Amino acid sequence: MKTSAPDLPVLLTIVGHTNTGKTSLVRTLLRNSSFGEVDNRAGTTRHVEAAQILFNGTPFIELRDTPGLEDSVALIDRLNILSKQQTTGRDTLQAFVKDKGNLQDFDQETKVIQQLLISDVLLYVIDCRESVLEKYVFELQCLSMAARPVIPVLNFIENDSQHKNEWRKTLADFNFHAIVEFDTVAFNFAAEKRLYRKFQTVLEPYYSEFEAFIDQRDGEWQTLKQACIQSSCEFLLKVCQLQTLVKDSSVTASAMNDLQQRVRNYEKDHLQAILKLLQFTADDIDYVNIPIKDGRWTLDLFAPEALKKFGVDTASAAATGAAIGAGLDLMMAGMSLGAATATGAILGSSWSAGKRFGKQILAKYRGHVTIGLDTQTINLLVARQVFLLDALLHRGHAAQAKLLMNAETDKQPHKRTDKASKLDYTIPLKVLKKVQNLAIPAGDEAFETEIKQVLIDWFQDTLTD
Amino acid sequence: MPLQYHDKIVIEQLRSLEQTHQAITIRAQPSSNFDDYLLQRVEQAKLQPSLKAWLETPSRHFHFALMIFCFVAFAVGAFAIISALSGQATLNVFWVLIVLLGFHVVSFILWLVLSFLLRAPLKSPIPSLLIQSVNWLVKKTSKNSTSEKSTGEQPPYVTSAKAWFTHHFAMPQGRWLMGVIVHGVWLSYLVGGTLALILSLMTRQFDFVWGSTLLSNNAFEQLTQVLSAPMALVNWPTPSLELIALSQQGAHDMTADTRAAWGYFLLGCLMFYGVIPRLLAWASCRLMCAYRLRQFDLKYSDAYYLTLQHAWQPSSSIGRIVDPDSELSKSVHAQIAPHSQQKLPAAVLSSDALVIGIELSALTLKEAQQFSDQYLPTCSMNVVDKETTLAAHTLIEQHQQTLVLMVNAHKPPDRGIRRLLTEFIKRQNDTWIVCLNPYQAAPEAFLLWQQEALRLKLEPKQCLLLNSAQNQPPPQTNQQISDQKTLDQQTLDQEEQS
Ligand SMILES: Nc1nc2c(ncn2[C@@H]2O[C@H](COP(=O)(O)OP(=O)(O)OP(=O)(O)O)[C@@H](O)[C@H]2O)c(=O)[nH]1
Ligand SMILES: [Mg+2]
Repeated sequence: MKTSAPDLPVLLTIVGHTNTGKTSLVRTLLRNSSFGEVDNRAGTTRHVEAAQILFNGTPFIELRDTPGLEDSVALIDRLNILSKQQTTGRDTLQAFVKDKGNLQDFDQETKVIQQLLISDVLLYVIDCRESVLEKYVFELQCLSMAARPVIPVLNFIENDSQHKNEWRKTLADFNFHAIVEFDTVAFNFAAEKRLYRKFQTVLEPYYSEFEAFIDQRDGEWQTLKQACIQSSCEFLLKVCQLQTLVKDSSVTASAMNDLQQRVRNYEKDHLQAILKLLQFTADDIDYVNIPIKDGRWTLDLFAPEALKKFGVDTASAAATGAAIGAGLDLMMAGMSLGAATATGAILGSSWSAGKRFGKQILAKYRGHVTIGLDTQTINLLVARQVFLLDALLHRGHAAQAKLLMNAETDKQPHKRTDKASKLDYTIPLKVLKKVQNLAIPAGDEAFETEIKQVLIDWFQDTLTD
Repeated sequence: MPLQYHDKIVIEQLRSLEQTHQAITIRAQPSSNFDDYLLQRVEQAKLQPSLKAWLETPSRHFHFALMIFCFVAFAVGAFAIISALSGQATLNVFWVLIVLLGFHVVSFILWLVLSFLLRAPLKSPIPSLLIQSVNWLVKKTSKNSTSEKSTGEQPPYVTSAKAWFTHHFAMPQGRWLMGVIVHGVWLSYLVGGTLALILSLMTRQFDFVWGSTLLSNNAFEQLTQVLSAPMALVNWPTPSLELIALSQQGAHDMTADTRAAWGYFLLGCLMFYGVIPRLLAWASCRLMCAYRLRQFDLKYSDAYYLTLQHAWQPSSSIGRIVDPDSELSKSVHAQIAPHSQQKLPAAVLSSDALVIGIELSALTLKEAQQFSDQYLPTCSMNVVDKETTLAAHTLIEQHQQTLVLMVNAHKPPDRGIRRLLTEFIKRQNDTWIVCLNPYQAAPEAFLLWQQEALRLKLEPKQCLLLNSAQNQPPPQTNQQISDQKTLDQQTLDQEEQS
């Protein structure tokens, strides 16, 4: 056993009954959705697979995924016989591993026990939907024979807590007190941090290393979250600045088409960037374009139910009377000229606003129209971003169900995302409309930063756990 | 080695290219630190000719344009002097000074006031003007490539140039860079003028005069003295008081000495009030600009860099198999044929069939109780441990009638449960497996139980799924499940039969 000088990586073996989510746990901790094989049937994992969590590029924790224990009742019978000739639990386990006769009946169990003997810490994964059956107690007995610290991980916690207390009691009886609740599918960083804290407590010699590691992970997570939000805000700012000047009303439809296509492309690009950033793949999401048909955003998207899902208030959206393609209001441009001066963006933005204002007058005079996104579409885009970030930031890499990013489905794997329907979009809409009417000039950073910060703050408030 | 600012700017250019043009792919080798990794990516990118051009030309174009500007200014300066002196044998000293230095002094003072007294950063429209002109130029030059226009995407060169310009002209370095440009251009103008003046003075003879209608002679003498004070400090020849008096308009014929003295004075003014201050200003702007640019940092917390950071140093390794599957106990997953009928016959319900639960969880038991009156005989016992297993064995032995085994649909059978089932099921034709699904498990879970039934040599119809009445049936994705009847239908069928 490694007791004195820290010897990295720490060896962590994940054990548990079959189908409790062991491989899922490893996937989520590694942020790698292609580790091992995850399936509904029993006995999916049939080998021992290892992967390392790196800290500054060097291996820090080695996770070992093992086959599930399937028949501890039979196993414990065998161990009981062996223990009669052995003095300690470890000796018994060693004897079991050495006995080749066990291979036929206990092939997987032999692999697991081999790992138990060489690990620093054992993670025992529990399906909380199950009551503490005798077979689980036998598994715990088997683990305690290995004389290694055990951290029980309560999985499948989203449903009910009926058996949670029962489990806690039994685990306490076994002296396994460092229990963690960790849902491998509905990810929660705070829970992951608690898990690492448990490692830290049971691995006293590595205390300071874990401290640094946890700090770094925490920092990384915050940065990651912030970067996601920022990226979404930048996307929104970008699409709101998209404008096309239509000189001839006969080409309005095609100009609109182009604009819509660009919005779709930007959204897809942005989505890809976020997925990549959070180490998900395109397989994690079922992306449905903002539907466009016959050059218009299709109506079903704006069906009241669809809008309600994303929290768009149809009444007020209708009041704005904003069909896509409605030209920008000249009055708005004029008003925002005043507003810009007030925000202190004196020279730069008023220069550009003035230029825009002039352009508007000229366009109006010539009978040209400027096409931009209407309020309803902007609202929908914001709602989709809230939905996306909320869902992805709470998605474990073990999640199997695809995230559906469309307007119709309400069978989302995430209950959290109901949030989107109760949101007040006044702030982002106000900011984005302002950007749209003012078209920030390149180089006017102060103004852009100020506007972006308002958006970022709103997203941050909205996306708190 | 830390990144130089121009490296950083190229990295930013590459970033803007990668973000807007998804087709760009760059392979990079592992590096010991992230900065090196970024640099190395740039190197890799430059191996692709088009990328190399996009990355390098903005800077080249900028410097080329600047050179042209300076050259033009140089020519203008020289031309200004030549035209001011042409056809004249007598020069008014102060008139020449005004021609050469007038605008320069005004613009210089303006610059000083704006950049030092009004400390607020100037919001210059110039960067966006520059970008727009780059845009415009590119649009003009690539008229025939219409593909970009339809998608509304910028051509890559513009993307890259935009990045180059925005980073150079962003505050705070932008203000100093503007200084470098403005002073550089003025400097060229003044140098052109000075050289032309020297050439003119060397090749032609001029008489110098001065005179004024409004100002007193005294004032002129003083002005000349004041102007020549800095020159005197470095022993530059300056006109003496007598000389000044001598050359008043119409006073005298000039001696060679007087001419030379005024010539040096003119040159001195150009140097001390033109070239040298501009040179100093240019140099200080350059220094400040370089300093500011050096302070410019890449924002590693942006999504783009975080993603790259991850590619450079992953937070986890990929999985490797430590102890392979020895394939000794591979369980065989039987293929099951779709079957249509799924109902618990009334005969089973009416008979006092023996119902045994297998490791039912609390929620499943509750559900079983809900069903027990109408749809199922009451569950006699729940097998949870060795003791109950034994009891179940005894019960089954004694009972010798229809056996209904109740299981959790959400827990697919594991080896232990399989062993139990094999032990329990003695009479295949009179045994039923009923799956209860309080957790609304996916349909595949039930499929696994059906496979188990098949393994136990039960008829497919002898394994059925009961969903609680208040819940919807699970989404039906395959034949077996879609054919299975909902509870209501089952009851109807049962009533029909009875
Ligand atoms: N809803 C929910 N499903 C989960 C959770 N954890 C795992 N699952 C699902 O449970 C099933 C089994 O997960 P695995 O990770 O394969 O379990 P395992 O313990 O590795 O199983 P074996 O390798 O067969 O021993 C998969 O279908 C997972 O998607 C959870 O926290 N919540
Ligand atoms: Mg597994």
